[in-house]
Amino acid sequence: MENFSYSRPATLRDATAQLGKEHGRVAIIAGGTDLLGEMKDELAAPARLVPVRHLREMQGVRTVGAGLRIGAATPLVDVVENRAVQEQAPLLAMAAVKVGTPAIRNMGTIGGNICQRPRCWYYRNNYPCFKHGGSACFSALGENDFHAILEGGPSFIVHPSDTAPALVALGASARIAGPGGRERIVPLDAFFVTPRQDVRRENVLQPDEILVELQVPNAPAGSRATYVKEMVRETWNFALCSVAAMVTLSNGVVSDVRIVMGGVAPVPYRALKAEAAIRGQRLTETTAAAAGAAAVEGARPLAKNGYKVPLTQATVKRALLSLA
Amino acid sequence: MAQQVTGQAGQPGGALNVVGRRGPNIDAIDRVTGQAKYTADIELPGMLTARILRSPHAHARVVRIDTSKAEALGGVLSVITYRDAPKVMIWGSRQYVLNDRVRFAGEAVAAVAAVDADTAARALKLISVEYEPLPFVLDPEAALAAGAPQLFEDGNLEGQPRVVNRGDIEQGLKESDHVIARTYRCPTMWSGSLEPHAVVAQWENDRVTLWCSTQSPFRVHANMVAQLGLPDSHIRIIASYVGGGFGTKSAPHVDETIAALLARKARRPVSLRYSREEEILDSNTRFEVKMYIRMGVKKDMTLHALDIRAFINQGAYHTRLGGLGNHATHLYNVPHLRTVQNRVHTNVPNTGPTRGVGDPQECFGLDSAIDEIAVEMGWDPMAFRLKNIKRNGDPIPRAAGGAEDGRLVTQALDRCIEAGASRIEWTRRNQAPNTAQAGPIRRGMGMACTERTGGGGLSGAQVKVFLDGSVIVFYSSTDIGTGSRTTLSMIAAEVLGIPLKSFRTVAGDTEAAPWDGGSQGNRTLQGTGRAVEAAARDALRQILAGAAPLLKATPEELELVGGSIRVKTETARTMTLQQVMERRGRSVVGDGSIAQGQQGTDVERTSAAHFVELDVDTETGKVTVIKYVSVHDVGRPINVTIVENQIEGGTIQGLALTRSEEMRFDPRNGRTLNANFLDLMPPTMMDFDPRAIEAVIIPNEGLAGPFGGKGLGENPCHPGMAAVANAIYNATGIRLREVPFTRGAILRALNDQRPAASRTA
Ligand SMILES: Cc1cc2nc3c(=O)[nH]c(=O)nc-3n(C[C@H](O)[C@H](O)[C@H](O)COP(=O)(O)OP(=O)(O)OC[C@H]3O[C@@H](n4cnc5c(N)ncnc54)[C@H](O)[C@@H]3O)c2cc1C
Ligand code: SF4
Repeated sequence: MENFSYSRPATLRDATAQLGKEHGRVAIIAGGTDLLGEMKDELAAPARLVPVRHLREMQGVRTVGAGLRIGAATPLVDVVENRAVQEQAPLLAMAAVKVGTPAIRNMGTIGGNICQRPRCWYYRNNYPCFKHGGSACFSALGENDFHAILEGGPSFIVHPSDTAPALVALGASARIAGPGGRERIVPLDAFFVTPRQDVRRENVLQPDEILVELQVPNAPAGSRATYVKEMVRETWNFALCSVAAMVTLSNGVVSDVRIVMGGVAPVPYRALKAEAAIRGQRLTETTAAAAGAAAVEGARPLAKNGYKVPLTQATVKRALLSLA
Repeated sequence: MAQQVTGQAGQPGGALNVVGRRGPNIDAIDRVTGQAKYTADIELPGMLTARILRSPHAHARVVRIDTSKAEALGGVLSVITYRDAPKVMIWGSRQYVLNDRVRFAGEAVAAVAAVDADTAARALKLISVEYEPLPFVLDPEAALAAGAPQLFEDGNLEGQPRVVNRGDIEQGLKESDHVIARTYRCPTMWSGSLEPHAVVAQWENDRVTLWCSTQSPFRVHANMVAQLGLPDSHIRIIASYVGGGFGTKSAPHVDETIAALLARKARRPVSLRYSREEEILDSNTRFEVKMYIRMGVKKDMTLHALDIRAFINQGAYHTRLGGLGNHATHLYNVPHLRTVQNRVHTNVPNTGPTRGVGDPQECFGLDSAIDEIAVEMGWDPMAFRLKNIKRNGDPIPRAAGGAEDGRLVTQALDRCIEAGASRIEWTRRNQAPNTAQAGPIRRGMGMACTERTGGGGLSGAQVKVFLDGSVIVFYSSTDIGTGSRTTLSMIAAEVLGIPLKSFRTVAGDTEAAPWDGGSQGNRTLQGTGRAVEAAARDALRQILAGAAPLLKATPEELELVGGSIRVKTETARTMTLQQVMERRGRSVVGDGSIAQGQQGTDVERTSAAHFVELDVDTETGKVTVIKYVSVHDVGRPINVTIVENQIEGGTIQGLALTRSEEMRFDPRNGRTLNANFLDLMPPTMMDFDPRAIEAVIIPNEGLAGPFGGKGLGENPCHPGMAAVANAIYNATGIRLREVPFTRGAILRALNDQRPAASRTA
């Protein structure tokens, strides 16, 4: 690991002032569960770290109007255990508890979780690929068991976050602070970017911006939700595929639905076709299976990840059926 | 061999007071309270921290290496390269500790010792190395093809192919009523332990002490004699507490010599600890095996011909102990047999014998083929095995080879199979794969058998009885988590008639204890255990001789029971051990050194049968173990709790190989892409519910080990892959011939099984 300086900003304004205009020179550190790993593996070598966990406006869960405000630096464990989250946005608690292990959830924050970097083996082994500013994707013709089946190219990473699909399904927005007190609010489905939009980044944050909080509308009254995550082992790994599903039933018919998938695309992938397939239907084996099939429509698997197509299909189907 | 002493409880055939019980490890408290000192806990005044620079190339020549900048860095006390390293191959390997040619990505190229880890890491960056990359090869079959990159002047094949012939294989296949030909593969897999390699080296004049994490202190000792050119007595290896080994620590490595060289150059003690990544890349991992099997049977259900052609990927340097086990030659009766093993060097990281050595791989191939052919013939695979296994009195090779010049004794495999079948209720098994079952879940059962030798070689131990009547057992094999401190103490306690609570052990110290082959290959209990038994008998003889005049009896008239010495026929004439020892005024040291090898025609083996019932989710490819019954012949269990723990742990380790743990290499440069726990994904406690695993011990008594005990450690991880593959077939009708059985492999095979119209790709 390279040497770095560490400064403790007194306020959010101080923090943004320290960030600068260049990606990578200065890094925001929250729980550090991802960033420190990147630094040890020499994927990142920031000259300065700017901690944010102590900033009050970035901490904790509040209810504001018909929704939640979750500070980006709130540890995942606090999100999981928070009463308001459990009642108003249970999908988020279900997803957050699936992150890693208790140690990761104790240290890791929700902001860090949605801003974490990809887990592609080539990226983590510091290959000079697109993500590192190079001009090739090594996984496309190499080891790609765990890569994207949807929206891939030129990089085929999958978005690794468990909370992101849930937040997108809930219709959450990001409050982002820039230098000089500037602020913007970005709906999460516009927060994440595909490799076609920007092959080196996974979201719209500028180098001098900080994700301050997540604004999460309450789940619709009467809605039901689930987060299903398929893994190689039962704990301590990323999703092969995951499904955040939320439905509202009126007279047994799906009147409102959100299906967002993790682990299958470079961004949390909203399965609009699956939503369309199930809207207006009763939740039966047949309709849920049809939604599952619609969810992977357009999938273009690589040499070694074809299994994700039936796996995702089944996971969407089961997630929906569990809500019947 | 142990001499006979009459009248003592711990006699073969006599009543047993200690052996055969349950009980905790005698060092359990020390381990869980952190009082047990592992190598990484050793702190010495002035100790430096070492780090190793490793090659990014799978095969390259080191054209130039410049360490001057590193040496100039403040806080760096020594830097070594191949120029400092002896031109002596490491024991069991073709590797020089440091060399000007590297043969796998991750091989050590240089090393530094500095005042702290950061300085050492910084120094590594200052070493500039110019490599001339060479063509490399990763696949063992490709490595034997004409024009393949050559690792060594004499080619990529290690020695000659190992060939075993019995009968006439082609004739046997021709005579068979049914023949199958199948290919099975186990890739290079991680097989290590939680404690990475660690070593601390300290010189005093021209003597060196090395604390290290090894299973075989005397192998390391012998290697250090060769590497450092020192007299035997100038080296001391201490491997007191070791955090697992699983074979990866059964041979010397580069690390011990590197630490010793750095420490000598720096004139300070040096500590070298591998990171997790280094441990995965450079610790003699489980070797890849590809097996081409042809098998023929007669209609009368007899196995008639077996042909195995195997390619063993030895990795870059490993020479010894690679290859298949003896399943083909020793498990089933088969009149026509041929096995050909090509042990091949490639540019994948070093491999070596890991738990079971080649047995799990061979078992996977052979017991899958057994299952496949039985299914094709419409036979119950268990009945087919029972018909063909070697039983007591059957001819069997005395050594590794084809000629059946011995006779099998003390075998209990038939009883293992029968007990397992009854526990799992084999009669419930699907007659044919479960393809018609409603819903996505398919349940099925499978089984596999295994066998192995135990003990062997030279073992030594000493038993010292102090004036206060307490005892220390000195031995130089190790306790790598197998409970040998406890088991060996129990053996001595049984012989001596001294309560177990009076025992302590000094393990893994080559200065304190006599020569011993180390802890691997089912040998600690069976070999070292016999040496401890002999040493205890020697001590007992001396104690009784010392007590005789005090009790006015002959030694033969005395016995030591419950810590007291008494006249057998007049038990009121008694003195405590402490009284006798204090009157005697000096401690007693009993010595035991034994050599074990095949003698006569009686051949003793250990064996096991594993049965598994599992669910396959045909939509997600997930496999869930419902019940797993591991039935073992261990002879007489010395400590039942320890035996059960070994069986359970080994079973889980075998199951792990079915799930993940494959090392994945980049075909473009030979680097390992997943050398960490997050990407290698070894299972955790959440994956295989220990409550689903039943460890069953078949009552038996062996001949070679102490008190009828047989070695056990390796066996429990042999049958998992085959048993699970067979159960997946029984559940679904898909046959997996390559481990691990990933979601991808299962879903792909299920997809291929469907009628073409309903396939997804
Ligand atoms: C062993 C292991 C297992 C894991 N398993 C899972 C899993 O199963 N599911 C899953 O979703 N994740 C998993 N992770 C990832 C982990 O959850 C995330 O790393 C964690 O939530 C990140 O939070 P953090 O606070 O530690 O982030 P940090 O490491 O501090 O930061 C992560 C990244 O986000 C940036 N960042 C952090 N906060 C902000 C902010 N407020 N504004 C702008 N940028 C910011 C940092 O600069 C950095 O680039 C795992 C990680 C490990 C090490
Ligand atoms: S998938 Fe993305 S991160 Fe991985 S090698 Fe390709 S470009 Fe790099």
